[in-house]
Amino acid sequence: MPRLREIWVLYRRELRIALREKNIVITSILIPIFMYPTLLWLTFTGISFVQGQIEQLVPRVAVTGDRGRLERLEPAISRSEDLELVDRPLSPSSGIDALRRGQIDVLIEVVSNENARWTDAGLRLHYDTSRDRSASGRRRVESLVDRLRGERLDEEASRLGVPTSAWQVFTTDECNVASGREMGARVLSALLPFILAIIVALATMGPAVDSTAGERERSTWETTMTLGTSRMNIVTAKYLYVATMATLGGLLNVSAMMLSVRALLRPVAGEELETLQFRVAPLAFVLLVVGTTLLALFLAAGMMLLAAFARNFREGQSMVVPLYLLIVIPLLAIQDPQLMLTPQLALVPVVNVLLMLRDAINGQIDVPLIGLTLVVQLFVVAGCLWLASTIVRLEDFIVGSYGGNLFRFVRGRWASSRGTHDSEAGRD
Amino acid sequence: MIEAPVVTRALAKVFYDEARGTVRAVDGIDFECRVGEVFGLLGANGAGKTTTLRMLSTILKPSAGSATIMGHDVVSEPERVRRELGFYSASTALYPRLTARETLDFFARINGYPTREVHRRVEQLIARFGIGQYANTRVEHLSSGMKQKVSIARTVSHDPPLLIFDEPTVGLDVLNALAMLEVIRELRNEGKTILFSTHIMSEAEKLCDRIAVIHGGRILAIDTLEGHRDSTGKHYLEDIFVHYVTGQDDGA
Amino acid sequence: MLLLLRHEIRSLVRDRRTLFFALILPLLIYPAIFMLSKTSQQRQEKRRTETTYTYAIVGGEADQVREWIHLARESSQCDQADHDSSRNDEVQQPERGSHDAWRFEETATADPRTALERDELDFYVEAIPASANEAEEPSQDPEASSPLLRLVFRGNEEASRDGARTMRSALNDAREQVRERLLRERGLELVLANVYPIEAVDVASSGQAAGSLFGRFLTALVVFLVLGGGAAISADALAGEKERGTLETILTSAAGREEIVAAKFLAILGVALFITCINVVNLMVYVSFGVISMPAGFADSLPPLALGVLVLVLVPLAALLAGVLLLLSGVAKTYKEAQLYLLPAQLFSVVPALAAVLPEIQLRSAIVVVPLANVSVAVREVMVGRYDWPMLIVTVVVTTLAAVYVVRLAARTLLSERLITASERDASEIIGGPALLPRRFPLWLAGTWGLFLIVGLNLPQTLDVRWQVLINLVGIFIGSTALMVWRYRLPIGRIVSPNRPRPLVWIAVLVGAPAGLIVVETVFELVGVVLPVPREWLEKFSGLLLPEGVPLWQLAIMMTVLPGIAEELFFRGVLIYALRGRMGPISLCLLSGVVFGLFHTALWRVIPTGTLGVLLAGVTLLTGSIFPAALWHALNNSLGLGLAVAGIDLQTLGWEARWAAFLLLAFALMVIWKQRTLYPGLRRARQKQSGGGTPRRSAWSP
Repeated sequence: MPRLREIWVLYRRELRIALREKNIVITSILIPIFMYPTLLWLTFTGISFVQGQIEQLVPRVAVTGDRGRLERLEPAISRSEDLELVDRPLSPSSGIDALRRGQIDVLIEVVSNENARWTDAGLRLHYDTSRDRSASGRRRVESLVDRLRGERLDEEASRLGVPTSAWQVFTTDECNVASGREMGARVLSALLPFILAIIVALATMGPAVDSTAGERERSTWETTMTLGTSRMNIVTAKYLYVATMATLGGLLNVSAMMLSVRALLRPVAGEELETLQFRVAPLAFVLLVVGTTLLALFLAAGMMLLAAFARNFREGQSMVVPLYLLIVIPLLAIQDPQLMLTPQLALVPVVNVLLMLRDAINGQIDVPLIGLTLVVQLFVVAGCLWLASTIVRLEDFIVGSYGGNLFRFVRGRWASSRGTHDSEAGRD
Repeated sequence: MIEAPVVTRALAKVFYDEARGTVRAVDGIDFECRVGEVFGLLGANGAGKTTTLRMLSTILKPSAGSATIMGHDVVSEPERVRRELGFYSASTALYPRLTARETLDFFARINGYPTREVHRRVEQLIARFGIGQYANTRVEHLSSGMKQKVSIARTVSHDPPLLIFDEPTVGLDVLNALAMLEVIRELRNEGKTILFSTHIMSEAEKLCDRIAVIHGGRILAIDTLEGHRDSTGKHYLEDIFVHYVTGQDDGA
Repeated sequence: MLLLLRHEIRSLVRDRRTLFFALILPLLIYPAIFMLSKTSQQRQEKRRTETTYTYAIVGGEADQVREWIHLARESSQCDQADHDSSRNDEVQQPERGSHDAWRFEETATADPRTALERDELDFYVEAIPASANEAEEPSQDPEASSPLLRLVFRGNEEASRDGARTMRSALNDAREQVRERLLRERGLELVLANVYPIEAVDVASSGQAAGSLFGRFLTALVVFLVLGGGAAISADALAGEKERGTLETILTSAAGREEIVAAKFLAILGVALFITCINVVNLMVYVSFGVISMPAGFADSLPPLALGVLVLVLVPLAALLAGVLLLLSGVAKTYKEAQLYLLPAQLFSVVPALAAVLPEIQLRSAIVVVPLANVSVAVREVMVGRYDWPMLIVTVVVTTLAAVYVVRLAARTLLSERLITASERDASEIIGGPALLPRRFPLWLAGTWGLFLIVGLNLPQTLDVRWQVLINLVGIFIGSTALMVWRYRLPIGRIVSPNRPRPLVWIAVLVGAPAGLIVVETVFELVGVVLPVPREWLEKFSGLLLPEGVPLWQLAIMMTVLPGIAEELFFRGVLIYALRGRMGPISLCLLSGVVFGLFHTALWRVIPTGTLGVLLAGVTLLTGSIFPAALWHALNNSLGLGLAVAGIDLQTLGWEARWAAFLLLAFALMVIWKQRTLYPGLRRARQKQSGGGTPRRSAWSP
């Protein structure tokens, strides 16, 4: 089949050019691969560094007021390793001054407490949220007091002769029956479609602009137009190439994500992480590939359509940016974890694919809905392609006589169609 | 007799421009090129040369009239037409990120040169145009002289019977321009038909078998240099050209 | 200069499309984004408060549990009645708010586990009787003698998890009720919630609290906006003009280069500030319309004085960033190239701009001389109402000086001929081979680093240490070196050892390595004073150094001989060979050190390891061979290993010993300097000034 052969020759040339362009290689290949490791290194070291520093801070606590009412408090503070007792007599007001000056971090004022008959000590904690050490000191003091309170009550109960088991009443416990794999899938399903869409859009941008506006800039557009093959072949090859780069970017991104998600989440997830498993079922993986491809096909068509009107790379870029920003809107829509793929939503392009991916990773595979999604998205892609091929056939577009302005192009088209009719009428 | 490689009949092109309204860039052109000749389109800037040649190479669609290349209509069989011709102009650049060899390989293949022979053809072109030294260097790193050689080689890569040169010497220095003309002459000697446009009188004088003077989208006269001399009574092409153009303007 | 500035601004304004995309579009798209995200949040919130959770009770004591749940329900309704009686209300507020109305419904099911899987249940309560519980964990714990209520849920379902958690806290409230009843039965009338009640008083005003929160991120936001806003025009300012060839036109005009650069700088600064202001105003509009909700007190954190000071501090910052943008544009040859540099620039400037996130960091410290970081800290202090005037002035001065320096650097790029004429082609591109390496090396470096990170993160923790070391050292460092040698046909002998070091050098290395170890340790401790490193990390690190179950001789090979060879080959051999012509000796040493530090992948190890790297690079440059550096490296590591085995901690070393080590190191370096056989092919001009080696070393040489 000569047609296919020609497309293949064109396609190979586009790819070859792309892999030699720094811009494209970086946005389509390097960023998808290296974004996670780098981000992760930064966040991981950054967060654990900050956390380590906060933990190392030992808040200085002073006690004031009616100290005799709560004798256990001060020994408990000086026993605790993560609090330092400031042993200095302070009046409440001088204590607050010291706190404001940053000499102490928490001031505990012991006050009388009329509400309770059994014990009449109440506590007033003075702290300063604008300082980290003070804020963390407040939390530590609160949990210390909580412990004291528990001990005190236990003692009181046993003094009154309440049996231990009755006093305990019951113990509560949690048990998560979701498997590590299900939990992992949940994390993955929240992150992956989101980042995937952004990366695919990013990976599409470079090639889409380069193969259209870029050709104009390098003035190879005319060269391409005099090639001994049909315009449709040229457009198809270009389109396939852009879609390939976008899909490649997306898939590379997915694999990089699978490889590094565990480490990426370490500072956030903590202990729980050890039980998580980030694996995607084979069927979901197939859907992932299909979904990425569909997204890529759609974005490639949309971006090429826009960029084709630009005269140079820079213009092309600025024309494509709106589409890139618009991608954010479906992303916001799928942020809601309870939003499921419904027949209505399956009719909304892009959102449906993203939802399908999310559900698939979560292990929910609803064949009719997936079918509907695929059909809808294919229709949208076909529509974009039809539009593109119609425009490519227009000659003003080929010559680029509309000054790179979309509006002027449309206006010019309309006026010239009238204009030529007039002139032909005049000739007859 | 075989059909002429290029035939145009009342070929016209109308543009619509916001500033100027309807513009008749080409206004009914008729001419024929004969096999193996160098046919020159001589005209000032904006005369309609480039538009005519772009219509012949199917970049533009004619608004009226018809044209055939090697017997194929430019509107109904654009792909066949493009395979039969090699188009060279200052604005058809090379793909900067391909190497010279890859460029030739690509153009030969896409223009329908038999796949099995592409390799041999490329080597032959590299040897012929003396590209060998930098055949594996990317075009973007070549000097303008080197680029020009590669550009001509890619024009003839698929060995087309007709070559169209649209102002080929624009922007070249004297030596490169001379080399260019030399190549065109060689190609003619190999039996190619060459359609050539220029606004430089001396080039047309030196190279063309027949010269068409084009002005304001119309062809004012077609003849050999000798024929023009006889009909106008002037010796230098420059004078001949001015004669036609002023005569036409006076008449209008 | 005014004329030039007007020209810049005019050509910008005429580029209508740029304006459209830089200004109008964000104004149109952001509201849509904010609105959507807000409605989406509201919907989620609404659902959370309206869902009724279904649950089941299983186990022997179902009735008992039901009673407790009933009690919990009563207590939740009773809570609503007297809300203010709850203790430390701020912490528990959201939870109490969420069971304002009782939203649980019990269903009966035979097989709760399956029902849970099938989503017919949100969670179930499994009551495990005390005896069974005791059998499980036989201890004297009071918890063991009471029944255990286990809330079983599915963590991957939001409703399931939320329901179970809410129920758990309700049950715990119920337990308090039971306890109160128990005490009451024994004659103690007591509301448990009133025992040791805590009233938390924040001495910071709401404005200070909000300021502390926002002040941390404000600088990063400003950095982001300024860089984003200035990017479009800056990429065009020098790089775009180079590409179009108009730079030559303007350079041949009568205007001086400084004036041209200054005009361009002002144009970038103006546009960047303008766009930043528009964005800020835009945000404010949304805040005032309630599209974005800000925590209370945000407005209080910005009294007029603070606003004024912020502007005073942030404008020099914007100037510094505009200078950076101009510099990038000057270094790039084309518009696209300039754009490419933007992302790394953004990343690198946002990191210091986040300095205020560090806890307890104060402007009155060394940070005041670090550009960007000082502004970040200053902004936060101002926003919490702390005005340290002298330090604020120092901040402004430092930032302004940095801006001036960067702009001067940008002006210098105009003098560099290679950069002015964008069309100039490098012979290296045609020839290929070793000549191409200097250009490509940064890419190789980045690639190797990325690979190093990915491999490091994904090697299973359980993998034998020997394999890890082999993969890292042999696979990555030697592998990438070999690839480069193969790809660019590099002369191996030239990389490894262009010169033959003199005999005395070896002795100096033997002396220098132990001294260097102590000096590096001292540097590490000094850094620790500014940025303390958590103790557990250090312990973890020394644990890595001494893995269990590996024979000492294998450890010695892996930790000393292999790094000596592999790392020196990469960080000193190829790196110096590749970049020797592009940088002066001092920058080469520093770069080698920084890269060496970065490859050790822990932030806190960058500076000490980097110091070692600088020393090793200096030795390599002076001797013209990587062998002395390799010996030094191996010695350094083996000493470290030996100390770890012997359990000696260098931190215990006294200051006398440290000074001695420092002098000894200086002496060793001096010997190497005297016996130098300089690395061939270094950049000449710089070499005369400094003689190569580290800056510190030259101070010690007689």
